[in-house]
Amino acid sequence: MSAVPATTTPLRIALVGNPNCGKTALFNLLTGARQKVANYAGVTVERKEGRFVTPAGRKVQLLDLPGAYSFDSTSPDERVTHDVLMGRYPGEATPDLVVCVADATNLRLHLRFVLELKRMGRPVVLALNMMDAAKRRGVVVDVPKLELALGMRVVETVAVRRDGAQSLVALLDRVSVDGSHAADLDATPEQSADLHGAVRQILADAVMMPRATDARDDAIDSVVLHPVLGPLILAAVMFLVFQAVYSLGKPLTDSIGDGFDWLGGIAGAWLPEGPLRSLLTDGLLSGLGTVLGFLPEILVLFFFILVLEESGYLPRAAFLLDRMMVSVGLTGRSFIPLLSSFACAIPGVMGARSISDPRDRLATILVAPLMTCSARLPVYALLISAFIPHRTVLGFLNLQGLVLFTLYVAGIAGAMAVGWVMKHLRRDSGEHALLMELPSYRMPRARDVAIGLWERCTIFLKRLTGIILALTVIMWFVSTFPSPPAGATGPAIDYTIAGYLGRALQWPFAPLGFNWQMSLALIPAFAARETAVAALATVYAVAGGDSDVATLGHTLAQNFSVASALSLMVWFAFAPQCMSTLAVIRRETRSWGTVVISFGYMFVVAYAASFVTYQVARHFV
Amino acid sequence: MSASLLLQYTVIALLVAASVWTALRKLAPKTTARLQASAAAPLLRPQRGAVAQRLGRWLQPKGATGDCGDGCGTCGTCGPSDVKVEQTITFHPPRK
Repeated sequence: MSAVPATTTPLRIALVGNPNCGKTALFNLLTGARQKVANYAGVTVERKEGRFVTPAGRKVQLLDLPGAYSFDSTSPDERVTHDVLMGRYPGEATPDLVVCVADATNLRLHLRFVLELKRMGRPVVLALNMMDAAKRRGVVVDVPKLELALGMRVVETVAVRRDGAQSLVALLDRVSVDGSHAADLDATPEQSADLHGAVRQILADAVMMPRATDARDDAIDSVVLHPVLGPLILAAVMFLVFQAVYSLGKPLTDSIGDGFDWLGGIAGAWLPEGPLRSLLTDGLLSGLGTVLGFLPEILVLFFFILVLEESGYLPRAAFLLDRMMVSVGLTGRSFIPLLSSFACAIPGVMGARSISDPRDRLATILVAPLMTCSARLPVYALLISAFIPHRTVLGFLNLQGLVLFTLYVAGIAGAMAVGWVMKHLRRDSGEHALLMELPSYRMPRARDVAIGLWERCTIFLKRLTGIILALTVIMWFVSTFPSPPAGATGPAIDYTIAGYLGRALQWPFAPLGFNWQMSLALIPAFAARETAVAALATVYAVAGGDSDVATLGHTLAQNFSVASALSLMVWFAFAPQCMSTLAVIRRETRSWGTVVISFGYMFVVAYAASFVTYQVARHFV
Repeated sequence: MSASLLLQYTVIALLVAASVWTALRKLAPKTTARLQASAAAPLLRPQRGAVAQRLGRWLQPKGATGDCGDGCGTCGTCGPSDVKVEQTITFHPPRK
């Protein structure tokens, strides 16, 4: 590399490094992007691209690649990194420069990958990231010596600070790169052993580390990873999160419901009598307003998930659950994809790319949709508030929160049961040990949590004003037209398309305790689960009810039995009610067979579980 | 039928049609893309006028990669599909 004037052709740079070293945080800092970051390995599973212009005017095209521990890659996400650097990734030119990001607090691990990169023969710059944490721990890096030992430029960065990439950008302004060709990366075991020796030598020459691990992390881990205390703490944390969803979210939900009720009153008074007024009040305000009312509860849930993600606690939870997950045919490595599925099954299915073993990956993909995604939350919240009394049990537990927690646990238990069955059905019963890097604990940054919540809010509102709005309008239309024939005596909705469709659907679902309105609501829920709430609100509003969150609850309580409501909740816990997830499963596995298996087993499980729930509950409740 | 009622039914018909199209695009993106392409093709023939050409280009389906970069926004974990504005880096000196 040598200093040259800036060119107009963008400099193509790839950010690579071990997982969880801060590549995406650096990418976000440089490009202004807001890609997801979290304090655990495996967040980025595919390439991301951004651009920025340096202060000297140099255009840079930046690639953020999935983390890799080595080029002896085994998992699909690591192969992306390998292929991009080797120029084998379809449609992707070979990067001009590789910026290898390394966690300065853990150079013993990260320098091995740096040396592997160096063997490629491409221009490499080393960014020693998290230098603030390294300094706090007393790690001293002699940068000139390290540059000499590695034969590459080394800069210090702190990707979570606004000015944390100053030295890297200054370097990018100065360097030009030659077109060296990639070397053969297939390392032999002897070469790997050489790398370990070389890393030890470099550390001895250029780095001073008071201790290999952080004393503070060790102290916390001695409690949270304790064989007895650890699982208890994990259970308590998860339990408190679901209690908080109700305790903190419910008052805000009620306020939004009241707001929409007021808005409906104003619109009803202002518009003339006619179908347009019905569309606005019975369709849009009732349907969308009811779904929007659950946004606070979703945000409360995600607030806690984001805080746990940022703190570094979640990989510990994976470690704690590994033994249990292995016993049911999954792996601790499935934990992070499954956890992502609590937001939505799609990132969970995609996150399974970080699992190198195809068998474990398939098992994870198949059970990921059973995790309770945020789209189910409005359905649960509506039914719980309508049918479960708001009271305290055992002196301090919110009963509604307890039921919500049980539904989440039901999803997890279902996944475990399916994993266990799969383990016994397949012949290969080998187990794969979990090797997972436990990140250092850190205090969650308010800005990151706020950005995460804002993005979650934006996504929800986009869904609300996109697919949910569209389906609500359609739902209103089929619940309103055609008008009843002359001399009709029954309720008008019985003569509409919705009435006929709902009654046709009721037959297969009658053993589960679903009435025709509930059966009808399952159709739009296939596109977006929350739409079931909007559909119920619209159908009952058109039929003459009043439907904000609170009054819809009363309407439902008058029209369903508690057994039917429990059955519907169980149906939503297990049913294959998301077309997008099935499409992503097809894409990730390249197999329609897997899609059929996924849909089929979930349908059978949901039907059986709802049937049992209804038949048992109707005798007791 | 009164003019007011006719207007109401017209607005409703448009809203329902737009909703059906939105739902179809979500549920059957390939089919809707094919429909868009076949509708755009006659308008994009060289002998067509500028207005038809512009309409054809507008109708043409936008390219989709089928991955997280699509910006489908259903799950929200993909983040923004790309960074639309180039960012000029300005660094601030650390506070003393």
